[in-house]
Amino acid sequence: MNESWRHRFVRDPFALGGLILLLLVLVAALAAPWLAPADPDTTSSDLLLGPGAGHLLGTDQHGRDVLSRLLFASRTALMAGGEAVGLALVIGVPLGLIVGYFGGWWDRIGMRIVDALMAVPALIIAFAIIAVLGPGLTNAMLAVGLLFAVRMIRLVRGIVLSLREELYVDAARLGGAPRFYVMGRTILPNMLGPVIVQSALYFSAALLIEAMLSFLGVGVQIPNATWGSMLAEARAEQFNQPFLPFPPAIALTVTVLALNFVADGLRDSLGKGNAKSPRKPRRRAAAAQATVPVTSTAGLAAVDGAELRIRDLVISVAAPGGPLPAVRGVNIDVRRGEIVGVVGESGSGKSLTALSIMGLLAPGVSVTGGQVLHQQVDLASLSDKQMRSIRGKRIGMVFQEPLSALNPAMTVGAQIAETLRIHTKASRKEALSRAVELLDRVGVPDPEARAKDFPHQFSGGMAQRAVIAMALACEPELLIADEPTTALDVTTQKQVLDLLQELVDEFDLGVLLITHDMGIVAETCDRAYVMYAGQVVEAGDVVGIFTRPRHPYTAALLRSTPRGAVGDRLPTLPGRVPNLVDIGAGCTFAPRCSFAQDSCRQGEIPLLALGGPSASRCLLTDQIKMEAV
Amino acid sequence: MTALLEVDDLSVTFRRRVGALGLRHREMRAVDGVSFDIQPGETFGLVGESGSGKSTTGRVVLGLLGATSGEARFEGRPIAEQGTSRGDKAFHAGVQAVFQDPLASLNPTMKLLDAIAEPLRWLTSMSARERSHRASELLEMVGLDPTLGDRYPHQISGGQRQRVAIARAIAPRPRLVVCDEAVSALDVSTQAQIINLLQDLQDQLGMAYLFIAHDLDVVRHISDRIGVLCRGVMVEQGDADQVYDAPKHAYTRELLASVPNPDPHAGRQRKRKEALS
Amino acid sequence: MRRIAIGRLASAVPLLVLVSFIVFGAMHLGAGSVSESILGDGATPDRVAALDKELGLDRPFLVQYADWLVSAAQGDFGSSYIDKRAVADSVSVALPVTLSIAGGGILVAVLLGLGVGLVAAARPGGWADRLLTFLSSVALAVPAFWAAMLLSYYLGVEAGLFPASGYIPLATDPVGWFQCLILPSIALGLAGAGSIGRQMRGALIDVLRKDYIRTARAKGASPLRVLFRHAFRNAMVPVSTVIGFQAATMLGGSLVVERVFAMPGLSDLLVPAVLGHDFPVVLAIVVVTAIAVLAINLVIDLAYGFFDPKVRA
Ligand SMILES: Nc1ncnc2c1ncn2[C@@H]1O[C@H](COP(=O)(O)OP(=O)(O)OP(=O)(O)O)[C@@H](O)[C@H]1O
Ligand code: SF4
Ligand SMILES: [Mg+2]
Repeated sequence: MNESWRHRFVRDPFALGGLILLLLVLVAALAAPWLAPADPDTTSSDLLLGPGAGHLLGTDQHGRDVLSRLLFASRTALMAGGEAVGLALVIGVPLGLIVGYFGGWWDRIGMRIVDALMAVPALIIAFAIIAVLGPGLTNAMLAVGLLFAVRMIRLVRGIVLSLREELYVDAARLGGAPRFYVMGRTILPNMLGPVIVQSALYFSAALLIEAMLSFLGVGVQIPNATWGSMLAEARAEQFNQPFLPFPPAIALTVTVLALNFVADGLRDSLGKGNAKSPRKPRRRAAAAQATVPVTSTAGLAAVDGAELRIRDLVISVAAPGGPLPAVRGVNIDVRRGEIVGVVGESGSGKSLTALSIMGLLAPGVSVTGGQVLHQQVDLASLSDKQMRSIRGKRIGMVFQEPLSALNPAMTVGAQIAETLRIHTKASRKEALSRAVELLDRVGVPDPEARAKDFPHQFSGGMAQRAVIAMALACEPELLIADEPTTALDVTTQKQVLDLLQELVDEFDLGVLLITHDMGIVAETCDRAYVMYAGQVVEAGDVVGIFTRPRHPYTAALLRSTPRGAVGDRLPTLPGRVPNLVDIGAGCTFAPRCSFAQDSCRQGEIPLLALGGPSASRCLLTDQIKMEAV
Repeated sequence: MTALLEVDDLSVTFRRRVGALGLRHREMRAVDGVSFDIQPGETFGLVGESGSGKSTTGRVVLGLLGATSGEARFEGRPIAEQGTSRGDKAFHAGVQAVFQDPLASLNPTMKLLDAIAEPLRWLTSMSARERSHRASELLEMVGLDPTLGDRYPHQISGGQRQRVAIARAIAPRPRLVVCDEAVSALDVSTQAQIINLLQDLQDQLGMAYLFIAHDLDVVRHISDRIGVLCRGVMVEQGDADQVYDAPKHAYTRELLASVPNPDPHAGRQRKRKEALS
Repeated sequence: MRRIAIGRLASAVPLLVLVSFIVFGAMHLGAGSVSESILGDGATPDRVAALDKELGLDRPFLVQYADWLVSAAQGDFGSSYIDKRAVADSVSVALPVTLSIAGGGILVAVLLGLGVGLVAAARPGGWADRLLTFLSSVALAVPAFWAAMLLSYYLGVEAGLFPASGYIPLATDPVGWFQCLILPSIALGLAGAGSIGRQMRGALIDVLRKDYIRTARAKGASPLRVLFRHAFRNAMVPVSTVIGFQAATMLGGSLVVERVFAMPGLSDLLVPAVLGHDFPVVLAIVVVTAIAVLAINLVIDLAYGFFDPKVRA
């Protein structure tokens, strides 16, 4: 598709090693007549010699040179694999495409036949085909090829069925493209990756099956050499010459291994891989801080009696050129009994900030500066075990997608009860009955029965209520809610937000509410922080922020929502949120700011205290008049 | 004058196979007797919550899905007779679409310029050179640098991708563009840019929009007339201002009341003050 | 759950008929004259016709198939063209041998594979993960019959730790049966363990990235609790499919392994039958193994329902 997958492939040592090995096997096969020290079929009286100077890998029971036979056998192996995979591709891909794309009766009949053939072990189907065609290498590979063709049809059909649902396929059809063009140009290239990967795997499987068939005597006929037949012969003489099985067996194993590595490498680099080990975070924050400015904040007055204090928080994410700070010196305070909003566009660092409080940052992301203080205790200084006793007990968390935040294999009741089971001595029964009470409290109707349901039986709104119940089960002092209603419909959103406000008053809960919706902030929060590109650019109480924004970004955000708009055209912010790598010196917002001056681009812009909880990170805070709603 | 699009008592029922053998069916009525029409050059907004049948209606209009009963007509002719399965060129040149997720609606293996030029290949008689020339013009029309045409979808930002999707949709000069949640996946500031672009293009080219979205503010801003869907039923339709300012149906009122209001005095602060006093 | 089982069983019958029909058809229409090849050089038109008549091959194809199907449904798979023995008898003697080895192999593969997957995924990228992942890839590449040769020769013959060959029926001597299966099961199970281990690792790593794992951690769950109570069950959903697939493969592989250990399993019947066009034997073995695979799939489906509540509903 583009060059990057190739780069990824070569950087994977196993994939590269596998490729090199394969090339070596290919060269050995092609150059066998020249490389082989002797004729592979010439017998001699030197029977069953071990490896030595005359015969590098010894001789077999007919006195033939093992190395030469091995080299010639690699030709047979590659040809056999090639035939089988070629057949599978030639038959499987077009049939799979047609069956998958057109569906209907062809699909139903075709898939029944495929199912039937897949119900029999591959080796036995191969036997049956050979029983019809007669033994021999070509027939054996024909058998294996047909076998793989059947599997390939299934694979391709599966991919086509899922690609057919893709919007870009709809788009191509809407563009008037004929069916075969859609198949060939729109669907085919997008399934090439998996098909290539699968072909490599079939190739290696073909080698193994060929070897098995030859080993059992129904594949290649003696005296032709394949790795399998060499092994079969070696087995007969294993007691006389234990070394004899090793050369063909190792050749076979290494070739199969190489193919598998190449297939794995392709799968990973083509991006469909599922299990690439994540890189460990590298602690090189100092280097990153040198390139991207990280602000230390003096301007923001501490809020009295805060339960949670985030101080100069810096969070770095791993990137190809070294870690980049995605959160750059954030200060946030939350008191009990108030809802504090954090608002900003996608990528501004809201979620990272939230996750760092709980110590739940993903691998590759780490806190590289600042502190998170919970009741004056620096959470970073706690052991894993101590941290676990804070999570869920002292600080609860609610996430964006309620349905994916619940374990699909556990009942909802059991998941709520689990919080209690972890942190209290409640018995299973007590915990479950408490879970029912909690479900009742958060407004889930018929809680007794719903507690026994699985998450997929819940609607999004109900699921979010359950997640809230789970977070509040141990009556924590703080709740962190990361876009708790973004995935919900407006009417449901309103209900969930109302519930949240009730619970705040009931439990004297402090809430950090993360959202990108200014409306939600206005309606539910007491105070708010506006984030832009990893920094707090404005802080204050909600009425102040909305009636008199003090930072050009806040003002622009308020103006560009359709509701705030006056007239036909929406006032827009030009450009977009900068990439982490693009952040330079001076005001981060300068490229999009209509007030920007030269001085804005000079140095670090401090957060300017404006009295009380208010602050703004703008040089011209006091000089420009900003309009909001 | 006949309407550009007439949707007449449209119903769509999905049948899902259930049971181990898939012999039994469960029916789900996604769209239930919906009627509306769109005049040339106007914007009709379709709002509703998830699962209310907005997208299903859009897909019928695009000819991607058949109606179970009722019908949709484009320029007087039933869409069922000219939709995608028929590959009617005049129809496709007349009706195009912009979808929610611009990354998903662009073929990842195709360069942007080719993606924009593709419909021209099937729907016009332009030569390859004319097509790529036109595609560059279209890139400029949607506010992108034509040099971006050499890139692949994953190499540009979300807002830029949506511009490309729009360029592709307007390439054959359609009379109707179905925008299905076309701005929903974008950030507020990008969203505003795309909404303005859609309005500018409408002023220039005079096409009509069927604008499907769940965000009521966005729909109100862009639409001339609005229909409100609730569980497959059109509960209310009328002029945008009338539906918003004087909703007739209880569901519409509930929907409008649920939208977070960016006026802080109406929110928690007020409740707080009330509680204190 | 019960509905899944009944549905599976109901769909198994047409599937078996279809399998047998395809194979029967291929053998009777695809190959040349059976009698000719059985008679070999001594084939004269008269003798061929006589043998055709004797074997019932002169009747119309569909009649032959219907005849076979009706008898097969009653457990009668005809008799061998070559040694005239009742196929059902010889298969019922050989089948337990093959199934024992396959069962042992599956057991080894599942236990070893799941263990490897769990250990590797607990610390992805760590040394244990890298070592186990590499070993799994190697295990996957080693042909089962070479593994069998190595084990039989070095652990059986040379070290004398386990029986190196031969089969003792369960009914005769349960302990001996168990012992003689140890090496074959390991030889057969290694590749499957490699495959299952890799899949388990991948599935676990996938699952560990899921939102609900983060939720569990946000509740204060310990890493072990997260791994076993939350991740394992969900990872088993995709892995059970792989286990089913591997089980079918191992059933085939046991034909090769039993050869190495000189065990009188299905391969002793199948290989000469394939070489000698002994179609009743081949067909019976195809059908019998298909039944075994379908039975395995049924178990997997039930397991699937256990791991994934969505399927149960
Ligand atoms: N696991 C990660 N690995 C690498 N980069 C990450 C990771 N998580 C987040 N980032 C980067 O950190 C920055 C901030 O991300 P974050 O998720 O906190 O934003 P957000 O404000 O929550 O956005 P959204 O509104 O989309 O949820 C982004 O540039 C993002 O790409
Ligand atoms: S500092 Fe300058 S560029 Fe930055 S927001 Fe203020 S006026 Fe705009
Ligand atoms: Mg986020």
